Amino acid sequence: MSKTPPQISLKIDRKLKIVTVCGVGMGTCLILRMTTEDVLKELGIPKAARVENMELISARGAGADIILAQSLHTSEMADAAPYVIAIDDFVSKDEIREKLLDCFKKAGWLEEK
Amino acid sequence: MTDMLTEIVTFLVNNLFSYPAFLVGLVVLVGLLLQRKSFSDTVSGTVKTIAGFLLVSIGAGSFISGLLNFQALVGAAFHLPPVTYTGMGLAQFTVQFGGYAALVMAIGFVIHLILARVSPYRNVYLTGHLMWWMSLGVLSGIVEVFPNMPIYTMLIIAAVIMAVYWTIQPAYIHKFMKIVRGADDIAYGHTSSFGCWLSALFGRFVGKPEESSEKVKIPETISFLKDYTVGTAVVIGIIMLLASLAAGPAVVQPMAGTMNYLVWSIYQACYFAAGLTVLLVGVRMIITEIVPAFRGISMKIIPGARPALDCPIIFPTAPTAVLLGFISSTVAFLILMVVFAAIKWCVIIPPMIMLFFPGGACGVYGNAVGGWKGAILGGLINGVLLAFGQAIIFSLLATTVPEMGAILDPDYTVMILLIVGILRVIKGV
Repeated sequence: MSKTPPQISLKIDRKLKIVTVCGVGMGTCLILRMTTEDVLKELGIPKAARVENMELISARGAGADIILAQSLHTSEMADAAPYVIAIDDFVSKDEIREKLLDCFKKAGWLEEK
Repeated sequence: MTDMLTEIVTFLVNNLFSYPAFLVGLVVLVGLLLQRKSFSDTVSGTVKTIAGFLLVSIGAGSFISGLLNFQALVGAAFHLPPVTYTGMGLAQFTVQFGGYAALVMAIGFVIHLILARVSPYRNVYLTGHLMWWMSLGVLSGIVEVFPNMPIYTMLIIAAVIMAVYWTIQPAYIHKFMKIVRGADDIAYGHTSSFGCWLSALFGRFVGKPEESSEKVKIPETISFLKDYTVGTAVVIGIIMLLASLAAGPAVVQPMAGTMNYLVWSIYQACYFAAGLTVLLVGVRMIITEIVPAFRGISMKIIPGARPALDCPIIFPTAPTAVLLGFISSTVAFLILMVVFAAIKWCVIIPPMIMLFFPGGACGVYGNAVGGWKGAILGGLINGVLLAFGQAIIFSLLATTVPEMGAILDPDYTVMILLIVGILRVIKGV
C-alpha cells in the first residue's frame, strides 16, 4: 500500500477468466478472489477479468486463462490453464499485483498508461 | 381491498417464505440491489444461492445413503447389528433448516460485529461455509432438545451463540496464531481451533521448533489425496473393499443386489464421494454471495479490523507439517475406527476433509512449537478428537441429524455437547 499502483489496460478483446483455487473451493480461494478483485480495481481494470473461486476438480475444467493457487496445489494444476501462479499470501495485494503484472507482461497483454 | 392484501400476504407466506431457500434468495437479492450490482450479477447471484440450497439437500441424500452402506458393511465385518436412524436426517433437515441457518449467519454476524467493535478483540470472522455449517449444527442441537421451540426464538438463541463463538474463537487461539504466522495481521477463523490449541499447548513437550517439519521429506505419491473427492473415494473404497472381504459374499451380496459385491463396495465409495462433492458445491454457491457482502460491511463498520480466515491461510508456512498432520490424523482415526467397531460401540467413517484440513492445521500449530514431532502429535490429537466426536454426535443427535457427526470439525463437537448439555439441564428444571 506504500506506493500507488500503476494504471494499466489490457490488449485483449475479451474478458479474461481468472480462477482462484483451494482444496474445497470456498474458504481461502474466496478470500483470494476478493483480494484479486481489489487488485484489478486498483490497477484500473475492474472489468477486464471475471474472477471465480473453485475447488481443484472444477478448476481443471473451467477453461481459465490464469489460475491462482497456493503452491501446495500449483503442481496439480500445472496443465489446467496457460498461466498457473503460486500465491503465498492470500491477503497480500502487493504480492498478487506483482505476480499478475508479471503474467500480463509475459502474455503480451500489458499496456501501461 | 384488505381481503386481497391478506390473500397476497398469505400467498407469500405459504409459498415463498415457508421455503427457507427462497427466503434467503430474497435477502441476497435485496443485498445485491443495495450494492448496485449489474443486472446479470444480481440475477445470477440470486439464482445461484437458491440452487445452492437445493444442491445441498440433493448431495446430502447421496451422502447419507453412502454413509449408511459404509456403516452397514464395516459393521457386518465386525458382527455389529445394522444401524438404523430414526431422525429426520440431514437431507430433510437442510431443506427445513438450511435457510434458517443462513438467517442465523446474518443476524449472528451483525451481533458479532457489535461485539468485535466494543471488545478488545478486533477480529472479524469471515470463513463463510463454516459459519453456515456451524449455524446448522447449533440449530440441530437446539431442535434435538426443544423440537417445538418457536422458530424466531430459536434463530435469536442460535445467532447469539454463534456471535459469541465467532468473537471468542479467533481471540483465544491468537497467541499461537501469531507464532505460526510470524505476524499480527490475520486471525485464525476455523472450527479446528480446539485441536490446534491443544496441539500448540502440548507440541512443545515432544520436540523443538528448530527441528522443523520442513526439513523432512515426504514422498510425492500421496499428494493426490489432497483432492478431497479423490481422497474420499480411495480411502473409503479401500476400507469398504476390506470390510466386504471380511464379511464375505453371504452377508454383502444381498446389499449389492445384482452387482458383484466387491464391485459394489467400490461403487458405493465413489457414490459417497460424489454426494459429498455435490453437497460442498452447493455450500459454495450459498456463501459465494454472502461472504463478500459481510467483508464489505465489516470494513465500513470496523476499519482496520483483523480478518479471521480459513485454515489453509497458514498452510504455506509449513506445507510438510500439513501432510504430516494429515497422515497422523488419518492413522489415529483408522485405529480408533477399528477399536470402536471391535468393542461394538459404533461404526465411524473417515471424514477425509476433516482429516486433511483440521489435521493439517493442527500439524502446522504443532510444528510451530514442537517441530516435526509436534506436527505428528497435532495430527494425532485431531484424529482422536474427530473419532470420539463422531461417535458421540451419532448418539447425541439421534432424533434429528445423527449424520451431522460425519461432517464435523473438533469445535462443533464441543459446541454441540455444551448446547445440548445446557439445554437439557434447563429443560429438566
